[in-house]
Amino acid sequence: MDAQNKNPNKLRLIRSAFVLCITLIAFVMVFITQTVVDQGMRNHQLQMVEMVASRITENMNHYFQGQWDNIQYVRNTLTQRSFTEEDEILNCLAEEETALKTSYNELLLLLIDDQGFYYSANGGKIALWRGTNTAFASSELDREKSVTINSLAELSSESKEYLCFTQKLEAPITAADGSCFTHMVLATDKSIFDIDLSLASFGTITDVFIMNSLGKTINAQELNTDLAKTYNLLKTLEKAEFFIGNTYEEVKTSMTLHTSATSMIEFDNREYYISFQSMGIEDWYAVFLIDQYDMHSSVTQIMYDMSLGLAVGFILMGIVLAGFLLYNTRIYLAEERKNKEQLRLAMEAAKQASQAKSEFLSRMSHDIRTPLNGIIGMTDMAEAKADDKPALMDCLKKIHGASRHLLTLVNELLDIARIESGKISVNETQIDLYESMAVVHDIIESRALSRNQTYQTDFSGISHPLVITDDNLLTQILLNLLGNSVKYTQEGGNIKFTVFEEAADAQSAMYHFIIEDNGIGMKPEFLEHIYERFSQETISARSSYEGTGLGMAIVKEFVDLLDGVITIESEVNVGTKFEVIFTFPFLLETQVAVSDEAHFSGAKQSYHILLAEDNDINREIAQFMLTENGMTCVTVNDGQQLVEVFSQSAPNQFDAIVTDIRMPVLDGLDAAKIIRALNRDDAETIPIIAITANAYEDDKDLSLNAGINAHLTKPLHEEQLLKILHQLCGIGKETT
Amino acid sequence: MIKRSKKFLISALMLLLTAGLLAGCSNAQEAESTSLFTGDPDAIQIFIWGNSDHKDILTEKFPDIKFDFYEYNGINITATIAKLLEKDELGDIHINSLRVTDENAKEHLMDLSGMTLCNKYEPSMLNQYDIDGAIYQLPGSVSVRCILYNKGMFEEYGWKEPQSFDELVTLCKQIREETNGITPIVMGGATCGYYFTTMTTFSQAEYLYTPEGAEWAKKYAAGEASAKDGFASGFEMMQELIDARAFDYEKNEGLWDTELFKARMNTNEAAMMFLWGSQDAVAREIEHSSNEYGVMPFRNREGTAFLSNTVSYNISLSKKLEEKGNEKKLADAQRIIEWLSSSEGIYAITNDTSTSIFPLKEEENPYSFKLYQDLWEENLDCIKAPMLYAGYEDVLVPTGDAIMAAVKENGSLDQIPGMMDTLHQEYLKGGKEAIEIGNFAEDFSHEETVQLLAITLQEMGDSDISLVSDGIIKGKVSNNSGGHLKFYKGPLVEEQLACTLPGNNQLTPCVQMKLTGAQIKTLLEKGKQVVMFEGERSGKYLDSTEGAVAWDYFDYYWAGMNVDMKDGKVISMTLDDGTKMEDEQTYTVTFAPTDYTDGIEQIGNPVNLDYPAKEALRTYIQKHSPVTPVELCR
Repeated sequence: MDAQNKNPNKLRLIRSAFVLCITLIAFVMVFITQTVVDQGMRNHQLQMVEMVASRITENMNHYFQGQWDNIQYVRNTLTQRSFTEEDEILNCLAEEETALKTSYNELLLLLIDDQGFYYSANGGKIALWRGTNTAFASSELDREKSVTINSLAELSSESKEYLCFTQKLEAPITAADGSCFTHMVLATDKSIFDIDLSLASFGTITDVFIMNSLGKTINAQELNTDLAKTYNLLKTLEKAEFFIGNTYEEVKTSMTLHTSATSMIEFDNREYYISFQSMGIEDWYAVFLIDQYDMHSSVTQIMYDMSLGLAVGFILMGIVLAGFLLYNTRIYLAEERKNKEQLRLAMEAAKQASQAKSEFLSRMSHDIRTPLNGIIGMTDMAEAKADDKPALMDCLKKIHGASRHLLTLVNELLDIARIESGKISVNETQIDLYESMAVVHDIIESRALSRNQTYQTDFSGISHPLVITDDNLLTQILLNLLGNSVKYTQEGGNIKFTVFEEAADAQSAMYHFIIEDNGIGMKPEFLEHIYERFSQETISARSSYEGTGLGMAIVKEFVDLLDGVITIESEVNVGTKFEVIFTFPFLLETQVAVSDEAHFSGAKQSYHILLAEDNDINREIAQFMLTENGMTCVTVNDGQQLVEVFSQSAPNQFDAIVTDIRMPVLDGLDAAKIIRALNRDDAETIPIIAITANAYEDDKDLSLNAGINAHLTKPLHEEQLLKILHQLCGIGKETT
Repeated sequence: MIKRSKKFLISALMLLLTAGLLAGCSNAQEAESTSLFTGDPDAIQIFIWGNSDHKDILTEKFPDIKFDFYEYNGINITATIAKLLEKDELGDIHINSLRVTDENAKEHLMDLSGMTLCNKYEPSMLNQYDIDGAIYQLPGSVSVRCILYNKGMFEEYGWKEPQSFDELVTLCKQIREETNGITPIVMGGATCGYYFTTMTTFSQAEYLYTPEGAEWAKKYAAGEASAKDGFASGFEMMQELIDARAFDYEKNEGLWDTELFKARMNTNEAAMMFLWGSQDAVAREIEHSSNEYGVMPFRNREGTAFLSNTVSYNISLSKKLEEKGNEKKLADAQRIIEWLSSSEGIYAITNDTSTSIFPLKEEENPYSFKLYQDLWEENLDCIKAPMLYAGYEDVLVPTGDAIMAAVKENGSLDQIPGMMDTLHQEYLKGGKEAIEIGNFAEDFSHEETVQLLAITLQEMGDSDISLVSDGIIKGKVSNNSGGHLKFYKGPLVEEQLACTLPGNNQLTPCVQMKLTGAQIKTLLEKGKQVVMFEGERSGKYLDSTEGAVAWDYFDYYWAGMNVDMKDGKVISMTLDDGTKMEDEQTYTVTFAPTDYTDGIEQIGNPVNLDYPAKEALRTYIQKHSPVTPVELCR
């Protein structure tokens, strides 16, 4: 019971653990998937940022080169001309400025004189040229080329910044009036730096600005990212974590080498893609800063949705799998329980069978010992009272009774053994029911008479006595049932055996075999177990009704073998009625009317029999049976002698050979084969009858194959022997 | 067995505890003996000049932050700050006027360029502090010098705001011609410094801002260039204004800016005013005036605007804050500096903000005087440079006086550049700036420093004993005339000589008084009483506390005698020669200037000695170098 209760709890535990494992596995797989996808996506995005940034920077560099080319062009134009005064130079400059201006690109051309003052094409002398640091005049004029971001406040009142490309002229532009210009400046709109990276894939939180190699922002503008809003980006990035792309140290190194670097960083709990692209001017870098959060938002959403879907999928799959396993587990457990129950029942049955067997063996030991004891005891008494014929006859009579009882016990045990080993088969032959009933009648009548019982038979209901069935099985069934009636009916009781036929179809009929008595009857509880082996009513007490307890089991087996039905009606102290119904095919060729009073008895015949038996007692018994019935016989002790005697005998000297099978020197089977092979007329025709303890069907077949005509099993029945001799010797040499 | 183990364990624990305490005590003692600050590792250390109210401002603003202030009230603040920075003893946050050299900045200061607060600052201001892309100091409020003009008068007469210096000269002539006695330009006549500043401002606007000008300045400092070159344009422009009769010196003589404004500008007697000082006071007058005024920048001949701007203070953080273990202090310091970089913080720290320009971007300046704010914003890209002062101290006064005399006489300025060269060469020949006086073998504590000062006075040999009071600040009471700061291990140069001296004037001679033994005893037991009055930042040395809002006593350190004191009471006094000092006996006592109360002065009849405390210190150091810490008398 405890084992049964533990199973449901164990099942729940297994189920919970399994679901938990599946869920954990699902999350781990989703996490790994997400991480791998995320990493791959970031690397891809990083490459994309690098590519876009380098392209844009490349375009800017092309633009810058274009401005230097413009300056070169204008310089060439101006240097090819000669000027008399400053205004001429400035007018020429104005012309070139107009030519270079486009509708979308504001452009100013300036000249710087040898004193450091700058002039505009249309405004003349403006002011001292100042570079990026408004406190001092530009020191960039010492360099051949320089780029600065200037407000040119003196030139315009507008608050505007220009990108100024300043080139030192190889040869100053001079005029006859002493004007001398040493530098040319092309000032263009700084809006080239106002790059909008608001692409769908980059999101909207992006910045592009210019910084120098020290990290300082060059051009101030509206910035969207918090990270960009610092004075020195490189200094700020000291606190950032660089986890994809170039490291911080590599970025710093790139600044000194004027190379580019691109990384993914985390700063102040936000992630950014950042690309430093070396520009073609000064030590400036174009910095592309993209807030990863906004960039990835849509992609991240897709990824999260996908991850969520994967997770849900895994979990559902896990649940289905768990359910499937649970179902299988339940079935398995149910099967287990069932098997265990069956095992338990089988063990119980085995135990009971073992117990019954033990009881049977105990019973058998007693039942076998009892008649044996009687036989031995009576034999001793007979020896002691050899001179007292009445006493002697009494002893012999009792010995005979005990012997028959013992024979019945052995026969039933053998039958059960044959049933369990499957060696009983239905041997259907054509039989005459009247003859079979006569055999049964003779045996039972004598038993009934010995108990002063009235035994009546009624076979008038048979219309078709010739049927096809197994005579032995049928006979045993009837003998058992009738034997039980005799046994369990008190002395002076009544037993009636009725057989009638009920039409079934044109070729078969249902034959009812009814045995009725007014005996002790049986309790309904016992009737439920009547066909169980070793079952006898009130077995716990030693009853006066001797028996194996196997009789009804054997009856039931044989009834089933013959496809019959058996019913029992019984009432305690009233009586019992057995009815067995068989459906036999019948034959119409011959009908033999047999009176109820008819009985068969073997008529004395003067046959000359050759008897082979190695056992002295059995030889004496057989010889007695033969000689008592007017026959003469020659006896031998083994098969060898049998063959010698027969072969030395005159043809047809003997009418039949009766031989045991198991004999020393030469057994009966081999002896029969040798005899049948002899070259003499009666070798093949002489009837050979085997009497043997071999009771199985196989033994019969061996006998028949050896040329033996009939196979009788021990103990030898005189009637059977005489009948067979009569059949084989009296009506020719037919096999039975 | 168990009992024995317990005993052993307890003994071991006691041993460990004792060792730990001893180590701690030793460390604490060591820290206390050399550091100016108390040594609380979690406290933000700030060195402040005794006259400022930064201590009150910061403690009130950040009640959750522990502060450790060292208040210095001596003279030569600039040299003191430079020395302390060099020794990394300037504290964690620096709020002072020192503009640090590039080398010192990189070595001692934290780079702030990575902090987002830099984004608050006006780029043109921050650019001036850029050192190779790093920002080590942040500018405080900016004082802008400009030209004030009577807008109503200009409109009345149809005068235009001059767009160049030449136009200014022309306007001055125009004013003279078109009006009846209106002075074109007035300038405070009470000090020669204004005239020096006017000349140098023109020089900066015209020449000194150029690369050549910057190069000249370096050479001039080294004595390798003439004032005639660098200041030529300034003198020329001044001469033109003198020749244009721009000034009426006699009408301005002796008047400071506020008085000048009231007397000349607000009375419509003058059209323009060079506003060099007292700008906040003048601004208040402007706000209450019925006249409408405008301000305009100085311009060079080409018309480029020039704003002479002086940053009143700079903010910086010690590099030591970045060291491991200082994370909390760094976080606190960043909070403070973030606030100092706001308009609220600047307003709180700056003494007077009405005319101060905040160095923040436009949207951050809610307090500035509008005229000045507009001037600043309209001229963000103009030339800006601080007023010339540092590096010209040797010629400033004589040059200013000479220019002032020329203005007064409408005379010539031709000889002045030559005079400047002469003075400068003499100054450089003297080499006083970087002369090493002597050497200190190790760091002194503040108490050892005060003790040494007393010993230096005594060693001059004039008196029986010498007394120097402890020049510290107790709460709100500041003893300015005591010994300050401390000496550091290493060389001591001339300009640092005065840092520890008592008093505010390093040239004032020490005094000698005659006091009885009983009076001396009282001084030793009681100390010097310093009283504070409402609205005053410096203490007065008075025996009476009447009307005072606070007072306290400051210990005297002595030299020349041995004193046995117990529980603050003098038991006995003995001169160094072993003579027992008697209560009734009179003894000579040397004091540093003003290092005594009025009461002591009355009874002591002070007589000036022929040396200032600075000389006594120099003499001692030269004699005893390398100087080792002295035994404390108390």
